Amino acid sequence: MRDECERTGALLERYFDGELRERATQYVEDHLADCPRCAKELQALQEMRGLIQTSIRDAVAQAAQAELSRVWQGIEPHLEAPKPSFWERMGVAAREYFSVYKSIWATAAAAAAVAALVAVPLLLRSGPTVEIAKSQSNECIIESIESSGSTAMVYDLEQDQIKVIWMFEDPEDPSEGPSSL
Amino acid sequence: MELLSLGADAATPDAPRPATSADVSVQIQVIHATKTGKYIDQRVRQIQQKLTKLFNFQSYRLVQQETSTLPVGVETPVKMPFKKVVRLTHQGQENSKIKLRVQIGLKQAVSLKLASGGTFLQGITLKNGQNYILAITATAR
Repeated sequence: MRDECERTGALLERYFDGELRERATQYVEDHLADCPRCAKELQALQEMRGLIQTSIRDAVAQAAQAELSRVWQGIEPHLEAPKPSFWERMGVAAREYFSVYKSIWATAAAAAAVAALVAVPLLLRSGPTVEIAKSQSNECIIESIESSGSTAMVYDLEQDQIKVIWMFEDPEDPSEGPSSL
Repeated sequence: MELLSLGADAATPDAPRPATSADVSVQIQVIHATKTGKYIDQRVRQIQQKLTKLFNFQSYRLVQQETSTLPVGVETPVKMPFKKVVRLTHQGQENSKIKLRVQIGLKQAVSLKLASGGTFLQGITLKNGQNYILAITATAR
């Protein structure tokens, strides 16, 4: 059982991220069903990720309400900043790959860092049409976002070349109800 | 639920318009995401795997899926399960990418360019706290 716990522990992060093949997924799920300790470890991982994601989203939403223009001015120059060189990226990847100790906390911290880098908050409140910096991707280029009475965030999943735009309707905006078309 | 085309061919208003090479095929999947439960619809498993890096939703349920052919310049409304209408407009192609405008309700719209076969995700948190994700995949014909 202990060996199984060790094997499962090594696979747990990739299982949580949905990166395991079917057979490995089945192995982890079978073990989790019988092992409260590993199930608890998975739960801790879920809670930590959730906490980080919620904190980032809340922080960005608060920033939007407080000082939208200042925040955007701070972000915009970085969108045009040159990407790190190939060797710099390889160095980061190698350090991550050869890292010996990978605890849940370390994973959570890494996830927070990645999320902070890829989540580009585009915060538009009560504005008619706002042109945003064009973010290059083989998959999708966002040209403009129109938003009124809601806050918008753009997430860029670089690895998957996927853009996600999330609109948060303002609960106190009376002008467009849920049934409005 | 069916797609309704607002556009009309002036010469033959009631006749179905034959598809042309300029048209694009658009699939729209509507996913209801919640932070409770553990249900993952296998049809949206890939999307769930991507979004789990960003959001702490525990449950992803496909509640609507439709495919439509969009001619250039014609606004195509799609009724959503959350009582809004999404209006899709194909605005032509540029640098081998499909230009789309996606309008949700009256106040929110996104204009984007998408590689053929690419998927764009748009999420919305409604006033009542419910979360929906639209997965829009456009393919050149």
